[in-house]
Amino acid sequence: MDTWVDNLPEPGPYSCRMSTQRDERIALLQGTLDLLILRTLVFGRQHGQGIARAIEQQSDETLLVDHGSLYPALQRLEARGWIEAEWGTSENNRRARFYALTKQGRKQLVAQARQWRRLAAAIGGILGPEEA
Amino acid sequence: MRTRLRAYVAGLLHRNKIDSEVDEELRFHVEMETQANIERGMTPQEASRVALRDLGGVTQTREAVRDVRAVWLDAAVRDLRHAFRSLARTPWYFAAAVGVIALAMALTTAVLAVVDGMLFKALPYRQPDRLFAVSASFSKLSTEADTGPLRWKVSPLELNAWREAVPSVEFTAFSEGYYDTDTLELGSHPAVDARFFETLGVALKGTGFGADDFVTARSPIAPIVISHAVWRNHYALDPSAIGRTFLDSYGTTRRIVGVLPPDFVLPSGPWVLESMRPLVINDPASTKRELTVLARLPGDVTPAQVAERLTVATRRISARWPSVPANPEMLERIRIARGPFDTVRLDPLRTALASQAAVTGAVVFWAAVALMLLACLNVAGLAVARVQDRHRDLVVRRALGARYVDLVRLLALENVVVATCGTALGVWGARMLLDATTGLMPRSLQFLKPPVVDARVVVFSALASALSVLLITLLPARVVWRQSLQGWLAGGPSVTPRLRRSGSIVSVQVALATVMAVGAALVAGSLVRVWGEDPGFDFSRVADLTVSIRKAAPGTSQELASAIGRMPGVRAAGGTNHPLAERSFNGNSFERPAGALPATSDAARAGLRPRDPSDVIEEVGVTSGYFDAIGLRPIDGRVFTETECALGAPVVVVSDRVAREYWPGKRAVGQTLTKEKGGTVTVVGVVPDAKYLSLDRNTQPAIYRTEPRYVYHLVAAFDRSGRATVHDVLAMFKKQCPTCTVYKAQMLSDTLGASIKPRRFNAWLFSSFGIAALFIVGAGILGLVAMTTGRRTQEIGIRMALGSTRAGVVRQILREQVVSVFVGLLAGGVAAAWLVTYVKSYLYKTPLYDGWSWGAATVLIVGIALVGALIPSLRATRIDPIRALRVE
Amino acid sequence: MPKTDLLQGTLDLLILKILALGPNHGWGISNRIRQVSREGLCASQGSLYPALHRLEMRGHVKSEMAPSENNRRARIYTLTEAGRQQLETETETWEQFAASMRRVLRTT
Repeated sequence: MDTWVDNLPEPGPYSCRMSTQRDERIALLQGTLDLLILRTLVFGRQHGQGIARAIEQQSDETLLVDHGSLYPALQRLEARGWIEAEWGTSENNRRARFYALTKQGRKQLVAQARQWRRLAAAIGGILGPEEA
Repeated sequence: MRTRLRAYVAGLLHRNKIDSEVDEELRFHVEMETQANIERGMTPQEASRVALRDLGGVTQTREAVRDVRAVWLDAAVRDLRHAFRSLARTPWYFAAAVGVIALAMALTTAVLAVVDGMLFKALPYRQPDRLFAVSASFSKLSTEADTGPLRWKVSPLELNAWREAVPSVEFTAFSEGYYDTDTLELGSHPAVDARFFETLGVALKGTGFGADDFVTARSPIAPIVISHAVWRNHYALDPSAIGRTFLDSYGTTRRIVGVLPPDFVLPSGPWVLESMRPLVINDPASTKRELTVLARLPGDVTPAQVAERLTVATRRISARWPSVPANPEMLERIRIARGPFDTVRLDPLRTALASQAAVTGAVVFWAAVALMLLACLNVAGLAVARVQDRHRDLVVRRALGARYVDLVRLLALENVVVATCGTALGVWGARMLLDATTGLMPRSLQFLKPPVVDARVVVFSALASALSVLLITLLPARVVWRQSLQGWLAGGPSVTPRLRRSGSIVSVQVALATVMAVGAALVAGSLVRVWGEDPGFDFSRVADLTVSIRKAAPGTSQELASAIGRMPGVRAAGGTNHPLAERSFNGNSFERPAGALPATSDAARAGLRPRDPSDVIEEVGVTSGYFDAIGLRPIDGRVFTETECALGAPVVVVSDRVAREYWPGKRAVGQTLTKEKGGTVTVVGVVPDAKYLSLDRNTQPAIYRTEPRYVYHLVAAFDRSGRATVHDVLAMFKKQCPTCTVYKAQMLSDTLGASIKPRRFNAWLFSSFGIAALFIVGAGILGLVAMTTGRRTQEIGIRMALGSTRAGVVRQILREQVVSVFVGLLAGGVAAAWLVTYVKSYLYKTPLYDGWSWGAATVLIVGIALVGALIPSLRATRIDPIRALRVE
Repeated sequence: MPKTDLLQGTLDLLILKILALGPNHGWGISNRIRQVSREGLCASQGSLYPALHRLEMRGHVKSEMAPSENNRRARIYTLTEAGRQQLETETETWEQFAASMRRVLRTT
């Protein structure tokens, strides 16, 4: 069963007491894709297609990246300064934008990953004794 | 599922209740949370503040809940409002799209109304599927013109034989009649038999005719049943009008005994039904053919069975039929048509009524379909360009989570708005169109009801409209799907999406328009040729009266003609027994002289099919003054004198073709012709040939003789002084012969116009489709070029800043359209070359590949395309280059 | 295979799970989430109510107003049969997703 990784502009369900602002909620929600992107770029710079493919591979094909959400996400991350981009040539000699982690991005990766684990554990707790 | 439905419905109905309950729910939450906060150690004030904050605000949450509970209706309304707003932002697109659809819809709706009126409306009789038209015909005559339901009229002899043969069938008959009303307009006043209303199942207001009315002895007051229209127009629906008597223009007192229902229609001539009289058949064995017979069949017989028995009965009476006098000049088919019938057929009444309408219907219907297609393509093309314009907006939507389906639904909704506005406008336009053109429609189109835009037609139009929305949305939807939005984002702002698709759309449109334009040009060109034809006689300022001189003394015709001719303001007047510009060819009663050239009419007579009526030498009886009035000046010899005509002297005037055929190489004047009944006549003059049948026929050769007794037409030529009018002539006519009747009085130009009325109507019909098609194509090209140039203002600005002239830029933009227009023209030309055979029957003296017409059509299309592309490009280049560069 | 709106779906999932233990009102659900997740999740209460109503519109839960604590009426939600099935599906989806994430984040 494949799961679509998607971004939804819904008010985030998980905001700890601090964050009741709307945009923070969105930020946390889209965090999953952001996290995956940052994670992939750890292994070196990549272009959009490559990132998508890497995510799919690394999850053993159980995650499918929706291209429609990928590029807005990349824009967002670039705007925040967590990744940087430059033009280059891809393996089949086409022009493409290549993305790479910034120092800030590396730090964010750690934070986001931690946040994710906490979330997953919490949900698991509610769901019961099954492994979450 | 049920819970879902219940929630839905509850949402719709209990909007307010739910709102207040949500408030209550949230308030409960806040209170509980506040309490919990207090237990955690906060002060009451802080507790409540934190509780509110954590909730995220009651109002906000309430809004969020309302959004969730919003039913489909709310979403639809919101989307609709959004569609309106987005359309309002591009008013030119909106106007163009609505205009195009309105135009096509108007024509399509009008066509639908006409077709519906011709074919589908229910007959206003009781159990109409049991009603049949009984048609007798001749097995030897099989041309199209001679077969068909109710083609030939039937005599009382035949009718009674039929009644005897099949007593279980109810037969009813009527004969057509036309007499003048005070307005001199021809109306239909048929005479119906005693069983007419009962057989058809028509409910009259009033008593109707009594049994006595159908018997020979006529009462001094003649009963009459009027139509609903007359009751409305002349008596304002006054119930006391029934029973009233009035004096008609013959001096007969008539009493109104009944009113027909409003939707009553009679299977007869196309003139407006005004009244009905009782049919009195004095001699049941009469062989005068003037009846049209309808029958109501009982449930247990089939029409085939009845037709068989009637055929047998008809054949039996052929023995009693009077023989037809032999006349070598008479066409075989005329001779047969005067003889006994030998076949009878039954047609459902509906088919009998509709058959006269058929052909034009099919062509027009397909033309309407093509036009709608054209309009849809047009708007689709514009919509595609618009989608590409809005790619940024769509990308943002996509990023915010809209699915492909949502985007398509948005586009579809916009198209629904456009189509609805266009259809509403079009339907309204169709009503006006039909009102304006009902007058133009020729006799040959008969309607069950006058074509009107009613509920059924609107429903059909709505269906057509819905289909168009589907078509229109298809293309832009494909673009949205195919176009990788990521490409736009990744590529940066300087990429202009290519217009590959729109080129082919333009080509298809141009092709469709070409086909229609060529058809229109051919038909219209035909009309121009016909109208430019010289009829061979002078018809300016000539009045034409259709008259009946009954039981008049010998010489009455001549007296009448002379009296009118002497009126001040009348240049000349004469009478003739031959109809002008109406179908009738009977041949003549003279033997061909010995040295005559072989007659072209021989070949025609050999077959039963007339090759051309102009092969027949007609015999025309005239009074003196006729030639003068009609402008036929003798090219040799002279015309008749008054005395000769009054006495019926044995003299003739021949037309030019006769002179050359009968006496080749010799002078015709002084020659003699032998009458087939005996006796000779002498030729005193030769006049030019004239076109008697219609402007679009060849000239008829004619032999004119004196006619002292019966004329059917009086022609009066007015001089330039204008002292006399048609009404003066009428007055003089009535004074001279009070017992005579005038059926119709109009100017000869109108008579001739009427003869080509079908042609005029067809020309108008095709031209309007052609013009609409051209307009739509032009609008389409205009819109597309406007959009592309609008997008490229930056590029244009740069070009002009770098030194390119306005003309240069304009030329470049035009060049981009050239290929698609050219391709469309070519494809359309090929298609037209193939399809043009379908309009062959509408053409006159115009070859199918007539240079003028095709050339005109091509020029028009190229011209429209040019104008369509030129206007926006000129506008675009008028922009100040600096401003253009600033536009992003 | 219906596409699940994943992270919004997780809130739905939690709600359904809690209601599986018995009917409850909105505040009760919010409280429970907070407790059982050991304060790790504080479901933004603002998104809880839209989620609840949405579940009702879909037929996964049903509700009615009933008198409750504080002498006020509250809307009590109950899990429906369809909701129970949905709970199973969503649980599966979540586990799958969590497993995938774990795989990707393996070496961090």
